[in-house]
Formats: sequence, structure tokens, C-alpha cells
Amino acid sequence: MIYLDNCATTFPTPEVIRSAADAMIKFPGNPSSRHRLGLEAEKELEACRKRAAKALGIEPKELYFTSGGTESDNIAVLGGANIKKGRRVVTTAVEHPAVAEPMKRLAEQGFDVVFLPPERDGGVSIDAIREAITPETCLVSVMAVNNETGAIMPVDKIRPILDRVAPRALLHTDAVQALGHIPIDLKKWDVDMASFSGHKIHGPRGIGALYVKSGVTVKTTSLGGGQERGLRSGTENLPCIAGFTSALEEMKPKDYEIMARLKELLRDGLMSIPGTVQNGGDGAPHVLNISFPGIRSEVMLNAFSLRKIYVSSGSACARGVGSHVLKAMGAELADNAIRFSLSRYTSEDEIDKTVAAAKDIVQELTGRN
Amino acid sequence: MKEILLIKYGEIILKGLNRSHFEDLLVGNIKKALPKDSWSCVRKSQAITYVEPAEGADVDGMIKRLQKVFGIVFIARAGVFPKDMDVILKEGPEYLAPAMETVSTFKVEAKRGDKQFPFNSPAISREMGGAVLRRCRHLKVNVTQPDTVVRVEIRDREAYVYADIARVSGPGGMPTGSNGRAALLLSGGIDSPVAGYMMAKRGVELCAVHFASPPYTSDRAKEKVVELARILAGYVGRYNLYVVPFTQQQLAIRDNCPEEHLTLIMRRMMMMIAARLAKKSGSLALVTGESLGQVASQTIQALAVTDEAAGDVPVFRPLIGMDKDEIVTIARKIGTYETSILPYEDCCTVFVPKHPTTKPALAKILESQSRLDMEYWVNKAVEEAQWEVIESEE
Repeated sequence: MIYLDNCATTFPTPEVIRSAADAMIKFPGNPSSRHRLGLEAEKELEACRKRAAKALGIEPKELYFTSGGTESDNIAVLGGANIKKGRRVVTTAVEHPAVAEPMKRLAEQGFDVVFLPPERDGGVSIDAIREAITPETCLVSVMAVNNETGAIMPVDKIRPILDRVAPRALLHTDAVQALGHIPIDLKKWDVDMASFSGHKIHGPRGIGALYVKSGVTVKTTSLGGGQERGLRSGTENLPCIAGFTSALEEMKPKDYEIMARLKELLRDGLMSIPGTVQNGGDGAPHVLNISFPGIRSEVMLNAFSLRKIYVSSGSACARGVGSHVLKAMGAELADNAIRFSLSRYTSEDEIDKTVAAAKDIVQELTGRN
Repeated sequence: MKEILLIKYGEIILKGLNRSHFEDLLVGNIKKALPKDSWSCVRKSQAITYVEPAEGADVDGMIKRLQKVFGIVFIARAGVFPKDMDVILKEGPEYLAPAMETVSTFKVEAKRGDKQFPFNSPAISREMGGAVLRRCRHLKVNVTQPDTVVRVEIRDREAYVYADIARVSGPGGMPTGSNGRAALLLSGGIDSPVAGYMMAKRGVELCAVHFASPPYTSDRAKEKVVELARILAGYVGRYNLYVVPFTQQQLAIRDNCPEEHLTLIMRRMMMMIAARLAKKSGSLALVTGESLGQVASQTIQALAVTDEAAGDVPVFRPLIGMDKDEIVTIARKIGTYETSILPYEDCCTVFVPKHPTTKPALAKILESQSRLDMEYWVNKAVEEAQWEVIESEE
């Protein structure tokens, strides 16, 4: 099996599994319980928060555990748009549905939501963002790395614009695909909120985090027992928090290089097949989006799948309903696109085999005519 | 409270000398449809089949399963009482009371199978009517147009009491197996499972044939077909599903035949393969979900051309005169609709000509088809077909 669908989910590492299982065994209490077992669980939770915050370069009190990237995005977008401060919200047309759908909700509520289209390389230019921001703007949400093309967005350049034009607006970034793949410096980017997911970085599913800069208040959308200092109610998922924390600590800067080198190999190999087109620019080191002319995405994906090579067709598309991201980019071969997404555990041998398989498949499916 | 299920069937009692054969089939199908340990006795007597639930059996669950057994017109759930008029009058109304809450008028019909029983039918009806009125104060008797009929049946060993309001209808039709076996061409769309259901309802035992074209069709598309087949198995019991690898054949057709004839030649080849598999599996006919005029390959001319390929195996098309919304209604009723609309490619939609012929002439199609070694491709498909046993998951 060759797994190149790491943007969809990654495999948990042995260390992650061990941490999660350990927490399940050692800390069965509810952190909110007043007794000793509760206290032990609470201490472990706060220890995890401290370690996770350190790995992310933030303060522990700025880190809120959630059920995943989607919940983090929902809280940030719905809770971050404050009607008293203004009515304009700026985002991109290529956000993950976890941002795009709450944005549509805001639009229904009367907000003026601007969806900025991407350039041909899949990225949204800082000029476009600058033009869209007005004094009326209350929230800007721009993903750090696009999940279909790997395009890196200029999140680090937005704050100075806000300072000048809309100083009270909040800045959010969906950093789910950025985490573990490009260097993230939340303090330097000076964002107010950032969303993360556990299972995209070899952690467990059902766990994520929302960074909220100290001093920023976000109105919660999740009401209940008031856990996570009122921002995200619900009994803390300690086993997954422990696993997520381990996953964060296992990330290394040299991972970027490993993936970047393999991506280059993969790209060169696939681009040597006549007719193939790369969708998007170089971007993040783990995502490569390639169109194979004359072969629909689904067919290509099935053909890889039969060879036990698991890739993605960019987004869950069927019967010609292609990727909204590629369509927005104006990619002509959107219906033929395949997304290959790597992890730090991908090997050179796997890349070679994938390229060889792609050549075989293209020969088999188009070579007859 | 001991209960019994009374199962009434319609059409098969008309079948003269074959009646006993049909009844035996139905009894066998009923036993197969119910969990082994759920019944203690299934017997037939005077055009009714009785199912005695075992101690502690899930009677509601049994009724649900029986509602899928072809041949059953309705299922009545009756209370079982000793043949003692005092007990019947005391406990019978109590048993009926919950069901009677939904009606306002009733009448009683009594049947005395055991002529030794000291009360005759009119007397039983009269006494029972009075007892029900005393127990359910809101009711009135109406002998001409009652909301429901309360039935008291005095049998050899016991008495049964039930109200028509508490009976549920079965699917009707003929017992599975009473009309031979047919091979259903199962695509994964809305129509073919309905066609299979319609023929099964007429007593036909099924086997199914599915054409898969990986990588043009996905594993999920095949899983979807297996799931549809399983839903049908809830009505017809265990049967075989043949999965025919069809990619090479489709590519050969695409590469050798005129584009406007692709679909028809493909359908002809499917018919040939299915007819072979039908013979192999003891099936006497093919069943398809075609409906006249629905798509280009379903015009009268196109159907004539496909039929010819099936040779001496008759092709049944139970949906031929139905509109799409009528088909959808049945698909929803039998529970296949939600699965059918899952959006995966099936082999029929892989290579679709832009301008398919709608009024093909057989001679022309045969001419186009002659560019292929049909015999070779049909044989290959029949040899490579894999079969699996399909069983209901319930």
C-alpha cells in the first residue's frame, strides 16, 4: 500500500497511540470532577496544554482544545464576526467548507462577505486582500495553506493592513494544512485566531485546537458546561488531547525538507508524462495537484486504488461536479485533477512506484486510441 | 399473554389443484424469513397459515419480516385463549382494548370451527359485543359499516381473538419459487432493483448479474450494488450475484465500433453474457429495469435490437409502462431508493455516445457488431464472472 492522501488524514504514530491509550488508562476521571481522580485528570490536561502551547509557540492560556479543525473554524468565524464592530467580512473563495459554510451563514445574517478569488497559482494575492479590506471590516479569515493545491496564502502580511484600515477587525487563519508543513509563527503573523487539527499531523481524530490571542474575546457558539474557559463546552477529550500533544511534539522542521524533496521527485516524474498539467504553484511541500488529460479524476483515482495507491480527486466530487477550488482558479483540466499528498513518512521508493504506476495507467487508459 | 399470527393469502387459493403446492412453498418461505428460534410451530389450515411465536420472541420483528414474504396479503396478530366462554369474555376485551382506542364503531364476527363448542356463532358475537362495549366505553356497534371487525375464532384446541384494525398488510403476490428463476440485470440505478422486486413479487426466484468496469467504476459502486442486492434479499431470500468484469469488453467496443452504436452493442453484449449466466444458473428469463422511452437505448427499436441478443431466453421488463415517478414510489416503498441515488458511476454511463442512435435497424447494428469477436468477449466475461451469495442483513 502507498498512502498519498495525507491531506485527508494521516496515520497516527506509535507514540501518539501510546499517549492516547496511556491517558485513557491513567486518567479516567473527568477534569471537572472535584475528587482526586478529577484533579489528576485536570493536571494532566493542563500539562498537555502547556506542552502543546510550547510546540505551537504560544501561551497555554491562548490554546483552546476543540473537537477538530471544523469546530475551531466555526467558533472563529461565527464567534469572531461581531456585528457591533462592522458588517464586512473578508475571506477567500478557496477556503475549506469549515470556513466557507459559516461564512455563508454570516452572509445570510446580513454581513457583507467578500470571497476573494484565487490567482492561477491557487493563491490569493495580498493586493486583492488589501483592496477588499475597508474600515467597515470586522473579520478577515484567510487559510494559511490550501488543502487542494498547497498554495500558501500571505497571512503574515495582513496585520499591517488591518492596523491601518480596520484596527478593530479580527484576523483568523485556518492553519490546519499549514501545521507540520510550513513554518508557523503565530506571533509574527500576529493573527487573533488560528485553527488546528490533530489528525492531519499524525494525531488522533476528533481533536483540534483554536488559538485565541491573549486579550481577544470571542463569543462562543458552543453552550454548555463552560469547559475550555467557556469557549468550548463539553467534557475534555483527554486521551485525544494527550495524543495530539505528542503529535505536536513529534513535528520537526526537517520534515518540511523531506517532503519538499519527495514532492519535487514526484512532480518531475509525473510531469514527464506527456500532457500532464500541474494545478497551482509550488506551495506547501506536502501537496501536489496534477491533471491527467483525458482521464477523469474518479477513473484515475480508481485505477490507482486498484494498484493499492491511495490518492484523492481533490475534493469529494462525482459526476462532473468538480473542485470549487480548481474551478475558481480557472484550471481547464479541473475534472482530471488528482491530489497527491505526502507525509514525512513517505519514502522515495513509494514516489518511484507511484510515478511508474501513473505511467502505466495513462498508457492503459489513453494509449489505445 | 400468548399470541399467534394468522397469515392470510389471496391469489394462491385460486390456483386449484396446485394450491397445496403453493401453500407448502409459502410455509417454507415463512420459516426461512423468520429467525430459527422465533417460532414454535407454522401450520396451515383452511386457507390460513398460523405462526406460533416461541416464548419471548420479538413478535413485532416477526411481523416486519413477514411483511416482506410474497404471497401474504395480511398478517393478523391474535390473542390465544382457552376454549372457555367466561375467560374469552373476560380477557378478550382487555386484550383488544389498546387497538380499539383508535376506532369508534365495531362489530363482532365469530367463527366456530369446533361444533362441539356450547355457543353458536351468533351467540358468541352477541356476548363478545356486549363484553367489548362494557370494557371500551367510547365504542358503538355498527353492523353495516364498522370501523373495525372484532373476530373470535373457536378452533380445535384454542380460541383466537383479534380486531382487523390490528392487522397489517403483506406484500401480496405469489410465493417466491412458485414461478421459476430469472436473472436480474442489476446496475445500481433506481430501476433495476424495482424490476427485480416486481418479478420476485410474482413468485420468481432471483439471481442477479452486475457488470463492473474498474477503474471506470469504483469499489464503492460495486459495494452499492451489493447493498441493493441485500435489500432485495430481504424479500426473496438468499440468491447469487454474478459480478462480471466488463472493462476490456467496453474498451473493445469503444475502439472498434461506430460511436453512435456503442450503447446498443454494449447492451447486446450484456444480454448475451446474462443469457449465458442465466442458463448456467438455471434461470429461465432475464429481467431488466428498462422503461419505454426513458433513454435512447429504451426506444421500441432499441429494445428490439437488445432483445434479439438474448436469443431464446425471454426478457421481462416489468417497468416498461411505468413513469419514473411511479418507479421511484416503489423504490422508496421497498427501501432501495436511498441507496440507488448514491452518486457512483455505473458501467452504462462510462462511455456514452454524444448522439446515440434512437431508431436502430438490427441489420446495421449487426454490421457494426461484426467488427468485434463477440463470441470471444462474451465467453471471456462468462468465464471471469465471480459470484457471491447475497443474504439479507436483518
